[in-house]
Amino acid sequence: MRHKPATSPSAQHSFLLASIGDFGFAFPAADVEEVRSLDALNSSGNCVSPLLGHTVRRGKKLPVVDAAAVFGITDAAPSRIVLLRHSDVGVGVSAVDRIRTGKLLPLPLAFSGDERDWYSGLTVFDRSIAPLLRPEGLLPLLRTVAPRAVPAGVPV
Amino acid sequence: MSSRYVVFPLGRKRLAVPAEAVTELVPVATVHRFPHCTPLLDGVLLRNDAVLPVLDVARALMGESAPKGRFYLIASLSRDQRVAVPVTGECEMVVADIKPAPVEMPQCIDGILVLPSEMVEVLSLSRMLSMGVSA
Repeated sequence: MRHKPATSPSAQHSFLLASIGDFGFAFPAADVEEVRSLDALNSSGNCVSPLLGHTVRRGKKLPVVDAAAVFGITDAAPSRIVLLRHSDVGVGVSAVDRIRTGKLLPLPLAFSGDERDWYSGLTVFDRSIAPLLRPEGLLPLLRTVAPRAVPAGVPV
Repeated sequence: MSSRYVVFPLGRKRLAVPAEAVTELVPVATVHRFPHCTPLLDGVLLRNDAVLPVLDVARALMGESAPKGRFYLIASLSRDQRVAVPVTGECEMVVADIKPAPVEMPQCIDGILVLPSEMVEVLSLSRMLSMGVSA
């Protein structure tokens, strides 16, 4: 099921910017609960990409997805884990930048691939554009290669 | 019955689209790229606070040797969808009859315009995008 974003084209929103390789991405600033280093990652060393490992939040084990692996971005080793409120998936990113304010616009309908699950929309600020990442949208590939890594009941 | 078409250059090749689909021709601007899985889309342009997907027709038809665009032709696919098509020069408006395309032509070609000095293929941008294939 494709996620339909709730967008208000004229409103200003705050976003946390992050990079994955040379690409910029955004998370809704109000939804960011925590940014952790990879020290918080529990990895058995046998994780199948794009699963980086797991991290624990309030006693609950959350899978951490290597977003670069999902997107096919090379030379983009993750160094941070972004955890969002109300999300049971952590996202591994190369770096976290800063909080910016901008508009949120829908992803054009011409984009018809898996990116409609990956992104909730496109953020626009200072004449730059960054996709708004949706952690649950990164799960389908994870479910395929490591189905036990995804907690039961996590919606996609 | 004759209709109006916008003829645009892609290097040495010239193609046409129905004139009512064309909204403007704008200079080359920054293409914002991000990971995606939709064939033939290069990225997006930011134009008047709207995000327009860039449909790289030249690369679809000619591969990596396609010439670089100097302008973007902004065209409507539907009431709610517009795309930006990189073109290599200025466009011209013609009035002509459209003839059926030969069967061996790609399905994204709607027909042929027989002009005084050339024959120009009429491209269906929406069909090209939905097919996700090169001609």
